[in-house]
Amino acid sequence: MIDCNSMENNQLTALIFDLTKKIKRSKILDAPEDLLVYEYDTSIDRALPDIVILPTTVEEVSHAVTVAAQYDIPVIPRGSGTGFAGGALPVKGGILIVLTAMNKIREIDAENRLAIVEPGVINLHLHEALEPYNLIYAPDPSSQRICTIGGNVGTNSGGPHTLAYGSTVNHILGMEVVLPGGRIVWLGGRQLDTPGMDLRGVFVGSEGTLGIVTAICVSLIPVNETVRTMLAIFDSIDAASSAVSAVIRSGVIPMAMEMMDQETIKVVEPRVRAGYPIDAGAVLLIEVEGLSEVVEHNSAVVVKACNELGAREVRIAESSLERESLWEGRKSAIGALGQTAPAIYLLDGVVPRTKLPEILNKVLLASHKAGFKCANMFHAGDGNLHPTVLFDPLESGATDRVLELGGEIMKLCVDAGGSITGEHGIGLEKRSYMEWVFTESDLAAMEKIRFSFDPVGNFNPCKILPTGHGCAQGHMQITDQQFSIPGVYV
Amino acid sequence: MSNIQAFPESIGNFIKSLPPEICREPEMYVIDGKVPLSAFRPLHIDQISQIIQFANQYNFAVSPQGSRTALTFGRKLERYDIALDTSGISKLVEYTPEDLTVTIESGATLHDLQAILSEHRQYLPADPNPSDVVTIGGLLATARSGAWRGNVPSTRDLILGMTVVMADGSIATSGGRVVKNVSGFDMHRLHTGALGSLGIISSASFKVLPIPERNVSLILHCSDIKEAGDLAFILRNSVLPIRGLTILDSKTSFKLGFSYAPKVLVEYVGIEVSIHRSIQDTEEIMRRFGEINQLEDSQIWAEIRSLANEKKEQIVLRCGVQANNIVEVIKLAELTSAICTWANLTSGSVRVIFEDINVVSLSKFRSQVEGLGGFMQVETAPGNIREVFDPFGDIETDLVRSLKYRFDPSGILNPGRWMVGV
Repeated sequence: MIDCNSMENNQLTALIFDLTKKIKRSKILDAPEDLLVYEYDTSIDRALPDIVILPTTVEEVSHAVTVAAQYDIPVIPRGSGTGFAGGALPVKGGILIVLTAMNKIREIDAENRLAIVEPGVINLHLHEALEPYNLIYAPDPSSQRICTIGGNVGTNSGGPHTLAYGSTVNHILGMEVVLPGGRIVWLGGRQLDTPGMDLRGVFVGSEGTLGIVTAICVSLIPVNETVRTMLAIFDSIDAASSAVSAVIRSGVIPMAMEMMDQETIKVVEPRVRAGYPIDAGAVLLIEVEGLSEVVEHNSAVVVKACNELGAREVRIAESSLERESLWEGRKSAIGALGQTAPAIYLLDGVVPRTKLPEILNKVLLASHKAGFKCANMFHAGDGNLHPTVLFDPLESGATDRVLELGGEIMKLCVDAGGSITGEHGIGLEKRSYMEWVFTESDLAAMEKIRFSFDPVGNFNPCKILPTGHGCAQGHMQITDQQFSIPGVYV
Repeated sequence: MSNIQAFPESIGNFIKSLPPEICREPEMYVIDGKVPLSAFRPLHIDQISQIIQFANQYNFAVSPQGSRTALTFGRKLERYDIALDTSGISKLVEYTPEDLTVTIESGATLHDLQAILSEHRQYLPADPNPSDVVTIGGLLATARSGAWRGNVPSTRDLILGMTVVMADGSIATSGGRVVKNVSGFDMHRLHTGALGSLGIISSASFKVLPIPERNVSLILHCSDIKEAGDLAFILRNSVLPIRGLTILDSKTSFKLGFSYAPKVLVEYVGIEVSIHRSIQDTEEIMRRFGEINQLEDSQIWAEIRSLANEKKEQIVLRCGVQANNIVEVIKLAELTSAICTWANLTSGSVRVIFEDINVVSLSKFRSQVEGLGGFMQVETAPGNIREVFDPFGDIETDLVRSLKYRFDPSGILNPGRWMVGV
């Protein structure tokens, strides 16, 4: 456990008493064995909350926030806990507000192309609910089978189709939010560009530091007439990366361009049977959508560009089953990699697309030098890398070395003019890297945003901003002892 | 420089310390009838910083302005001492066509940017009023959009990062120059639409898109506004590659040189085959409605954009409603003295123009639109109207006050634009 509040028993009893004034006791967890379930997300760190609440109404969330303010203790929102950056870890203890029970799709307004959902709705469940209406909610993170829309709002999630549709923020019209202090407000609304400052825009991606979202109005888009999914097979990752740039250069922006390297293919194919050639150096999963005539034209452009860059073959999915199978391989890649090593460490960095081949080589070199296997499956069209390091946390010093390697890879991204995160967020893990990207003055400005919403700084403390910016605690050092139970952190 | 002696001594001394080429005639920068004490047109971001530091030190109110096309957005300024003309900060910072990213200083006009991008057959899909004469800073600070909003990604969707001179003169950057980035708070989203009240935007980075190979505009003749609404809905629900879908009321139609009857104006973009298919499908749909004409060029969209800035004293409203209430709002506007009303269906935006309207009628119209679950914002109006009629309506105020307090504690940046003291 890391620097948790460790509330005294009598204080805890009083807190629970106050919470139960408006929240049923059964929605409040305080038994050690219950709290343990919530001490980790999908990052490497761990931290125990003092109390967990599973609210079902905005009033309960507001009450919990109000009580937390009276006790001056932290409040941390959490969805499914799929975050890779430690954003949902209660590093200073406090109340963990788990929103998974707020999981209703309240309204689908097909005529006006919007839906209102609670934050605990699983991303895929919304996609499924929209099928009869021939509409989609565009953001589709690879974890969409388990991640929540609220969590997606928290980190401004992306996914394979971000290339054409943009990140979560582009698809959020408005949100009901409980602010620190307990006030309930709507930011944005049911229409685009509501008057006033764009508080909606700055809230999305704030990782629970500005408030807790309790309802979300998402915009929907119509399903395209035709979709075509292609698998371009290359002998090397260099050739595949160059093909990505060639496609963009041709003036065609596919809906998605995903790359998997040999290490990933070797692991995924035997487990998922997606149809990836096991001896390929790299594959590109490319999807084009639109009018059938356009899809025909754009696929020809894509095939030509890939062939010119030395593709061994470009396969076109002939049926929806084949298409789903190709995507299943991509979306199951992390899970499959997780089965091959005691633990994996998934990184998230962005580089200008034109620098992909150079940086990928440097990533592989750095991993090799550090003595780890590293697999790569990522959003090539966006230059969004996800190097995945395989390691055994029980091996002495391995975790520290993996974290060090992670830092080195992030530095490579920064030096290439890129970013330390494209869709996973800063959370706890990357806040010390923020100073590589932003100046003291940049961070001071960001701090103003944070304190405008949360003057006390009790909302998800020690996240996003580095030490000295709203959190006195230094970067946490992980010890091997934390991995007494081997696990797969995916 | 006019009459330095009449200035407060601090301004006089400050002006003497600056390169003479950045000092301007204050009379050129009148806002709502008020001439500022002084005006500057800095040529470098450090000079903006220097001016803001000075203003902050002596508590002079600064109003940033680019092409001066949106000076009546928001309430009347409570104080106006220094005009900060950003048009001298207009360099291209970085453009990598292969990465579809560009960074440009805020004083460059949208026209300048599009010219640079078009050399590589790329563009920023923004069509604000009155035209591409708006500066990038002005485009962002006012978050203006046009018929493309909702159909193709907008400036709000494509902004990647921003550099801002803060109210204390410090320089802060957020986001970055890569197309996907969630590091830190998205300050650039906060400044987009903040009307220059939290900082001076000095440069911005965008993701850009390829220019569509072809575009075509069709005008569809309707017998009444209900039919226009039905038709626009049918088109929106099609799979056709729409970039603009606008309903014109009879008056607007007539003003643009068409018959005095409602119209639907649609623009399709894409490759030759998709344009061909779009025209064919639209003709098929129109069999149930009326006449259809293909326009020779896209000029009509530019004409619509310029309507909102046609006359200095006119009143321009931007209403936002859900798509299924668009026609209702147009009908409500027809009951007023509005001279033009047009609506962009996909974004749910209706613009209404008046030559004159009293505050009572404005209030009534706002409550009618709000009754439909929408909002009504005054985009342009003479100062005497904006003095007594809140341009924004019901907006979140506490958080805005809190942000203003932290970003601009002395209240020197466009004071009063949002509300009293903010």
